[in-house]
Amino acid sequence: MAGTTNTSLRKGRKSTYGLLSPAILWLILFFVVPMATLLKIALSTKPDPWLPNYTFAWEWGNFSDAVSRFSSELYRSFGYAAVATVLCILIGYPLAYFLAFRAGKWRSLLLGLVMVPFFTSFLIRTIAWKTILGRNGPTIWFLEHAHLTGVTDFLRLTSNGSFLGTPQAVIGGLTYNFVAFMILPIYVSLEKIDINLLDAARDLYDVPAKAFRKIILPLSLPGVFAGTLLTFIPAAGDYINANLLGNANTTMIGSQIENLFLSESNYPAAAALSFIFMAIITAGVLVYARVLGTEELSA
Amino acid sequence: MSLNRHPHPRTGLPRDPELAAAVGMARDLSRRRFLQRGGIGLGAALLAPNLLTACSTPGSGDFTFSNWVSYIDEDDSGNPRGKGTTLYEFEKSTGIKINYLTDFNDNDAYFNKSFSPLLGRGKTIAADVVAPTYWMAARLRGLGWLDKIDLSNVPNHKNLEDIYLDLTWDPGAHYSMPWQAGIAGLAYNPKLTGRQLTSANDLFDPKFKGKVSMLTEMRDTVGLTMLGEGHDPNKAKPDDIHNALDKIDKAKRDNQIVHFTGNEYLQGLESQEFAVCVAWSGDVYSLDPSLGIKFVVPEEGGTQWFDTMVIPKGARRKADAEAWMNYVYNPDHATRITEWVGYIPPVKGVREALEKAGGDSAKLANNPLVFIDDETKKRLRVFGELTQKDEIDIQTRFNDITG
Repeated sequence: MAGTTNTSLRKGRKSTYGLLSPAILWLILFFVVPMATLLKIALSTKPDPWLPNYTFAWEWGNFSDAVSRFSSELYRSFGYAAVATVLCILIGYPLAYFLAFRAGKWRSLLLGLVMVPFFTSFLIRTIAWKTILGRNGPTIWFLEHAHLTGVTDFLRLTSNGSFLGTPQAVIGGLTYNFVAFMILPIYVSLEKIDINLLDAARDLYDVPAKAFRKIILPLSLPGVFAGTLLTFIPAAGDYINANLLGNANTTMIGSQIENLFLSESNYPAAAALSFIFMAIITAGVLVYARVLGTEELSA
Repeated sequence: MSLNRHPHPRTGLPRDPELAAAVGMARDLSRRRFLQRGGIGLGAALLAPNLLTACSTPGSGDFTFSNWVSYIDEDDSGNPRGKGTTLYEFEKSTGIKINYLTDFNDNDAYFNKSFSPLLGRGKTIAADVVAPTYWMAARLRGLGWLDKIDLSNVPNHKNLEDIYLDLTWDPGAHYSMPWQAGIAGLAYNPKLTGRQLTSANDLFDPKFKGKVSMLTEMRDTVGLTMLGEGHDPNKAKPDDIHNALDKIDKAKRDNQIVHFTGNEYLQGLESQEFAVCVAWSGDVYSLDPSLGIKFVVPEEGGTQWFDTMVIPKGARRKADAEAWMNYVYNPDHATRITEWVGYIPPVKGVREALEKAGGDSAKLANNPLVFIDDETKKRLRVFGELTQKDEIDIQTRFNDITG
């Protein structure tokens, strides 16, 4: 008896691996190998910066050099991404809630409207903001004619009567570009909630606020978690918004990695910086998963 | 590709190809060269990314020239291979097929993607002629990665302007033949500055705080700052360069200088985001005159540069490359390119040819930014050569500042 279970298990395992092999091969080829190569370069030196030769030398100094040289960009990238993610939750959650519970017959239309901007390239949309918010654009024109630039300057929305070239503009751009990635997962998790649970709460004389806190919020947390990952990770690595909407004081880590590769040909430093960036994100995600108690990741 | 009409080729577009295409398109929508080229509407501009892929497909010709974008004449519909263009006429008169690419959009990026990984390992690159900026050509020469031009195949070499014959890194111009030259100076919008600008130090005038941009081309940005400080960038000592970098760094931190760009600064000038920019001469030539943007070579001086045709080591179609060099060094052929790009031709006889042609061409012959007068010429400086160590130190610091 025990013997048969054993063989069937073994058989099962074999076919499982068989089924997994394309995925495993894919991962090895396109994840493990590039990562190993990246790590090897991160630990190498480049004796002549103009020649394409690297010497593997366990050069851990590349990592500390990268951190000390680019600490402000690292803070900035994660800071901007964190603020943008929080803003995305603040904007996205109520919207997803409305879509899931209140939109009624308008639901598909409104959901479609959330998606529509994605039919245009991310870059075009960001460049469009540049025009809308630019010194010659309609917003500044309106503010100037309404003599409101003093007020917006005071509120820190503008600086020197200009929207662009500020951290606020970069964070605004990140929020705008990633908010849909927050709305959709939250919407999906809210939409799955069994309406009967809410009826039951009402039957038990619950107040709506408490029902929200005890039922809806916990059940939608996986959506918030997924949305946060989908927003925070690309936002931290993004540098298009910083380049187009920010100024020379808002550069993020992505453009520094690009500079190291293309302009300084310092591949070891670029690889080390990429690794540090990935390590911080991975650590952050694990901590976040534990705090939010999402089973799949914290288990 | 030809539709990306931002005339200055150097560091013109963001390096990311997708971003570059988008910025190029946005630029097309916002700005059109006013010289002889209407005809390109929104629809054509939106097609630009497709053309971009189409024209960078190798194998459409035999010998390959990798050049900067919008750096050669086009027909009225914006096609650089159209009837009557230099490329068309070259193929017709020599029977040599040319594969003209516009993938050279950044010296350092091309070096790190193509020259160094391939030529550095003794392999050959796809292009038979490339047009890097002078300092990059000098580096390639120093590394031994260029093939010597067989001057017997290039009789028109005699038309090369004399100044290019005594370069320290290439005496007699045996390894390089300049494509176009230009000046870096100040471009400004008098409506925003409220006065005429004459000094390189106007870039640091606190009145223009938040409205100043500089170029990501280190030699031009640092060169102009040094000239303002009274230092000659041609005899640049590392200390002087670092002092200039200190000044730029401080101005950036104070939000005096808000952007470091390739020629995206043109959009900033047009949208009045910028009042003063470190700028390239040919760019301003291409702007709509009704904007009132002015270009000035500061009284302390401006920097001069040139992009130069070189043959990478081991190029397979070297003789064809030489035939091409010979063709564009015929003054009549060079004139056609000058009329379109508005840069300084390195070929003798172009001015005379323009004068002879009359009309708009004759006007160009008197354009002081294309044919520099002696007074201005005295104020122009070429950035001095740097040792490898200094170059890397300085470029690294510059990158830290510009971000």
